Amino acid sequence: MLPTGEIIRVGDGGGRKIRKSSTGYHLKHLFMGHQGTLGIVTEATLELVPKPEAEFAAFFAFDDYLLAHRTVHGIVTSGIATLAGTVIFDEKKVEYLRRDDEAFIPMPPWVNSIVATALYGTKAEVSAASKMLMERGRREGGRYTGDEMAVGDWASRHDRYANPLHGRLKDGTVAPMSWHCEDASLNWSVIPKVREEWTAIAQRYIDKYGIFDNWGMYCYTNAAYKPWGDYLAEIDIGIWEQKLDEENWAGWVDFKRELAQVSLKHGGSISSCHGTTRVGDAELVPEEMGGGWDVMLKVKRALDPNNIMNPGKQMLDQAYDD
Amino acid sequence: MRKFIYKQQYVRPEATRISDGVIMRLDHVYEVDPDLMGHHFQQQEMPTWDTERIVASRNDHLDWMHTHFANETLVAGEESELELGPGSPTGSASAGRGPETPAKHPPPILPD
Repeated sequence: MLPTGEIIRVGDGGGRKIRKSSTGYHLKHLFMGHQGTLGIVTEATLELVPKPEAEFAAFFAFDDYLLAHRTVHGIVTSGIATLAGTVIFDEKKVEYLRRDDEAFIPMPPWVNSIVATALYGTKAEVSAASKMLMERGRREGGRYTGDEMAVGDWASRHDRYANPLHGRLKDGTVAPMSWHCEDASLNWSVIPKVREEWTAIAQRYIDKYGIFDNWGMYCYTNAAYKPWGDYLAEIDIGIWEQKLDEENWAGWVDFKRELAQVSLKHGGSISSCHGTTRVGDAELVPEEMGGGWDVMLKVKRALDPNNIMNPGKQMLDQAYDD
Repeated sequence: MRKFIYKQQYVRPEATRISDGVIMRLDHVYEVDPDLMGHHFQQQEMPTWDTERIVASRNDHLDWMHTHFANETLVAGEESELELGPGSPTGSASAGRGPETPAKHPPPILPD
């Protein structure tokens, strides 16, 4: 429903269940990620797909992040059609998981990076592709971490890696902390450099404020089995929220902003999936959008002439400056 | 059938140190070192059956994750290689590409 009260249906073209059309503007994308600034969704048509016959996961350990980084690229560009995802864990993520993840606690000290990858599809396809995946995972020196971890840790992927609800202070003691995931969309080639800069920024804020903890970084494919697909990169920061007074909050906002600026400096996008709604990154949206920002302002004003939909979001109030 | 004796449930087994910050009291159940946990978290006595219940519940959830996303879970059927130490690149840049027996394509038809 538009701010004027009109009801429209957006899809590809005018079709309700069409996935590809070349008719008109692609309005569907305009109403994805608008964060309530252009209208309200009152109905959605979802596509249901059958459950795959088989899954296969494998984890590979490395002593060098750059070898893990090359391995990810090798897997993603392998042409395996059943590849569902490939994830790379950096040294800080491994260090963080060694604290309380049963698969990582006993890992030998040389392990500093992990590549996790999984296939989904028919049993015949997954079975055949798994052999190729194992070869690709080892090609740059990756060591297979065993079947038990492949099964257990892949099943944990939605929770264990980021949600312990506690972190470590500089003296090693445990404090209650919440998870703040700062994400970006990055090309594969810039990931090591961004990782280096994000890690240095995190350490500076940890040292200065004493309420943050670096829970490490991982990157996973935004578009599996497409070699040109970029990566969702995230650095997970633990925050001792009980200590968030005015000064610490201002520090956190500066922290976020510095992370976002690194993404822009390397040609990335501030956010791959979380959106840019909060202070610390929302003010960088015009910089990222460049000439497209003016178009966004015109669209906003055209569809919402009275600025009644989520005023103040994403600096869009600039559309009404005159 | 296992017999539960209330008092025994509150006698925590001796801890084995697993790493600098982790101990183990029950098989395959790791705990963050209580010396690190106690500074900012209030600690409570926990009976063994409750720890086992939480572990079992976690395993149920992991099983559910597999069956929710696929009908069958396949594995490589291989042990961990971590004891071998870090590996080196194999240099087999072309390994694994294409079918083992390439098809013989007809020669291209070139313009006159």
